[in-house]
Amino acid sequence: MILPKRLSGQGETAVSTTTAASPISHQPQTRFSQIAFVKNVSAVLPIWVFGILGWLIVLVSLRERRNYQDSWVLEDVFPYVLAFCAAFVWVLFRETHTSRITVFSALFVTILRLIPGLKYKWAYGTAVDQMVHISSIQRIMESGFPPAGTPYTDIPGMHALLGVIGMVSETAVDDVVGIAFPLILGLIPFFIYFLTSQFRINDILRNQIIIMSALAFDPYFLLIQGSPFGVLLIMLVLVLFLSREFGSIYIQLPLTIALLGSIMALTFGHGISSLIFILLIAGMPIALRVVNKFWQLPIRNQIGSGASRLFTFTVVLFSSWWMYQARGVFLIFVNQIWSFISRAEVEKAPIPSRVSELGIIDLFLIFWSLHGNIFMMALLAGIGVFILWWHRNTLSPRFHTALIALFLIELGLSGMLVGQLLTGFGNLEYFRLLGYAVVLTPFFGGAALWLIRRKSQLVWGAFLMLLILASLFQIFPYQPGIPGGDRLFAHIRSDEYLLYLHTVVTDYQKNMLDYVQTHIDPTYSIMSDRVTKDEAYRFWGPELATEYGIRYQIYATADLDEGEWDYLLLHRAGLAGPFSEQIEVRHDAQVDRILSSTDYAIVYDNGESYVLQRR
Amino acid sequence: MHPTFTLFRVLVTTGLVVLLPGYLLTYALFPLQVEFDGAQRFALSGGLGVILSIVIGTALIVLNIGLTPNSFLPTIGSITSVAVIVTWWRGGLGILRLGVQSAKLYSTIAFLLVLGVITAVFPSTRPLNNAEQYSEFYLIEQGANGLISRNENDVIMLKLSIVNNEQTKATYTIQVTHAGQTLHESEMISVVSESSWDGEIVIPFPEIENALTNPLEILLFREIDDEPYRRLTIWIGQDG
Repeated sequence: MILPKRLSGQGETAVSTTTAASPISHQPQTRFSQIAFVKNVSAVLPIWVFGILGWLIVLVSLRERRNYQDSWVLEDVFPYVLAFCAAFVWVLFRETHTSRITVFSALFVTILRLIPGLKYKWAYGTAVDQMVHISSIQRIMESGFPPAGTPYTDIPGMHALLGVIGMVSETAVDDVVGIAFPLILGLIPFFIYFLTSQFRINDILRNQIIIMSALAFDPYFLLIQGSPFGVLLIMLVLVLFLSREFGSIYIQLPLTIALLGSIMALTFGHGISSLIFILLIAGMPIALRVVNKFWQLPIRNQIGSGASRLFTFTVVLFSSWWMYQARGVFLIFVNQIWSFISRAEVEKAPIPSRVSELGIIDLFLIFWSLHGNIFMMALLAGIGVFILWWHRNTLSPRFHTALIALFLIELGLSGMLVGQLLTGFGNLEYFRLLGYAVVLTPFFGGAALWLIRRKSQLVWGAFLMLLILASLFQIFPYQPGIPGGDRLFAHIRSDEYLLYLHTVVTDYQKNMLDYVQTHIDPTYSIMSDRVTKDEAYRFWGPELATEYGIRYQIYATADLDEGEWDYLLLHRAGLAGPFSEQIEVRHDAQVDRILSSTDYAIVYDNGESYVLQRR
Repeated sequence: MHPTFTLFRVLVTTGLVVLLPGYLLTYALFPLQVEFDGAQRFALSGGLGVILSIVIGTALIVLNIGLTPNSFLPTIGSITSVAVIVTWWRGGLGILRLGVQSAKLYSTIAFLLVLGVITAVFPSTRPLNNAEQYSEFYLIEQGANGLISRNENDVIMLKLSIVNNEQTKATYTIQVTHAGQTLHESEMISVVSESSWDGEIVIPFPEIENALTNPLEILLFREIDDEPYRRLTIWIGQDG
C-alpha cells in the first residue's frame, strides 16, 4: 500500500476533499503471523527489548561509576547504547500510535542524557558555566538563597527548581544535576506532541516530527547549562501560545493563565533565552505581514495579533525584572551591546584561528564532533521546508500558519548566527544560538523523514539508525577521534589531544583543591590553568574562590618565570581532567619540565595533580 | 548514600514536587469536558509543574523568605490543595484518575518495584566500582617561599601526610634524600583504605651539605613498588 501524498489528517484541509490518513503498510499476512500469540509477542517484543536495554544502561552506568576522566563517555557502556539505539529504531518500526512513540522518544533521549550523571561521581562538565550553575544550586540547597554577585542571583528559576528537588530528596547537588536535569528536559517530546495535537496532521508526519524531536540533540546535551533549560521554557511558551491561538474556546482562559505563567517562568528561569525570545516574537507580526503581502496566509494574521499581545506582556515583565531586580544581568547585557556597537576588542573570534593550521581530515573530525548532529538536522530541515512548500496546498490552514511562524523564528535565529560570522563578533555564544535553532528543526525535518518512509520503510529504518549513530559522536564526544598534538608539533604525543571535548571533574583535582583550601592561606597568590580555576569556583563557592583570587595562568615557562605568584596548581591532561589551553603550553613534557624545575617546591602530589610552591 | 538509592530518591521527588502539583492543576484549570489523552496530560502536568516550581522558588528568594523545604513545600502544597478543592467544587473529583485501568496500574507498579530492587542490589555490592586507585602525599606545613629551616634543636622537621585512596589497605615507606644521599628511611607505614596517616620526620641539620643548591626529596614508596610512587621537594633555607 502506498502512503498518501496528503500531509494533512482527517477533516481539516485547505482543499475540500477529505482523505482518511492511511495506516502504514503491514507485512503480508501469513498463517503463522495470524496466530494471536505470535501477533502479541511480535508487537510487544521490541518494547520489552527497548525497556530492558534502557534499564541495563542505567545499571551498567551505575556499576561503572568512576571518579576520573576516561577515554570517552561511552567507555564500557557503548555496546549497550548501540543495542539500545537499535531497539529504539525497532520500536519505531513496529509502533504507529503517536502517544506511545512520544513516550519511547522521551525515554530514549532521557536515558542517553542520564549516562554521565550515573557514570561519573561529579556532575559532568568543567566549563565555568557548569561550575557557576552547580555552585548556585548548592548555595540554594545550603542557605535558601543563591550566591550574590553572579549573573543568576536575580534569575534563579532553574537553580530554584533543581535546588528544591535536591533539598526535598536530600541528595548531593551533583546527583540532582545529573539525574533531575535530564528528567526535566525529557518533557520536550511531550510538548511537541501536545502542540501537534492542536493541528490536523497526517499521523505518519506527526510521528516523524516527534521522532525528530528526540533526535535533535542540543549542543549542550550532557551538560548543565542554562540554554537547554531556556529552550525547554521557550518551547513551553510556544506550545501554549500556538495551542491558545488555534485551540477551542473552552481552553482559551486556562491556556492564557498557563501562558502568562510560562512567560514568568522564562523571565525568571534564563535571562538570555527570554531576551532571544523577545527579539524573535517581536519580529513575528511584522514578518507575517510581509509574508501575507506575497501570498495569502490561510489564517490572516490571527497569529500576528496574538504575537503582538504576547510580545507586549513579555517585554513589560522582562524589562521590569531586568531593570529593577536583575540589574547585574542588565548591565552585562548593556556592556555586550556597547562592545558590539563600539567594535571594542572581542574576546573570541567566531572561528578559531588555529583552523587554518589543520588538515582537511582533522578539520572534518573536529567539525563532526562539534556539529555532526546539528548539520544533519539542518540538512533534513532544509529538505523538509522544500517538501512542505511543495505540499502546502494539502496542509491544514492552522498547521500551515504555525509552520510559517516557526520558520520565521528559525530564520531569525539563522540570521543571528550568520550575522555573528559576518561581523566577526564571537561573543554571542554560537552554540547557544544553535541550541535554540535545533529544537525547532523537527517540525521541518519530520517532513523529510515522512518522505523517506513513504518511499520505503526499510530505508527509513536504516536511515534513522545511521542518523543516530552519526549523532552519537557529537552528543557523546569521542575524544580519541580528536587529532593529537603531533599534528602541529613533532615533540608532542599523538594521545595528547588538540581539543578536549570530553570533560570530567575528577577526584584528583577535588583532593588537590581540598589541600589548597585546608593548608594554604588565601593571602597567598595562586595561579592555575582555566579548568582548575573554574573547578575551584565550584568546590569552594563564589566567596572563597574570590577570596583566594586564583589567577588564570597558562603553563608557558616564560610567563611562569615572570609572573607574580606563590603557588601554582598543576595537573596532567587525561586522568585528572581536561585543559582548555592550547596544546603547546600544557602537554606532558611541559608539565614534567615544570615539576623538575629548581625554582619550585612540590608540596602536594597525588600522581596527576600537584601543588607547587615558588622558591 | 549509594548512587542507586539516590537515583530513586531523585526520580520520586521529581515526580512528587514537579509532576504531581502540575497534574492536579490541570484538572483545576481546564474545563472538565476537555479530554486530554495521557501524553497530553503528562505534557501539561510537566509544564505546569515546572512553572509552579520556578515561580514559587523565585518568589520565596526575592521576598527574602528563603527557599527551604519548610517554605516551599507548604506553598506548593497549598496551591495543590486549592487545585483539588476547585476540581471538587466543579464536580470533577470523579474524573481524577491516572488515565490507566487499575489492574494495569498495579501490575506496572509491581513490575517497577521489582526492577527497582534488582537495580538497587546489583551494582551496590561494590560502591564506585571503577574508582581510580591512588594515594595523596603532601606536606602539612610548608615553609615560606618553598623553604624549610632548622628549628631550635638544630633539626629539620617535616610534617607529612599520606591519604590512602587505593580501595584497599596499603603499606608505605618514606625516604628522604638530598643530593643522592639518603638521609632518612621510615619504617613501614600501614594505612587503611579511605583513611590517612599524619606523621613527622626529623632530620638532623648538620648532616646536610650544599643545602641551598639541592632540594630535599621526600619520596613515598608503596610496598609493591621499587620506584618512587610520589615525590615532594622542599628547599633548605638559611638559619632563622
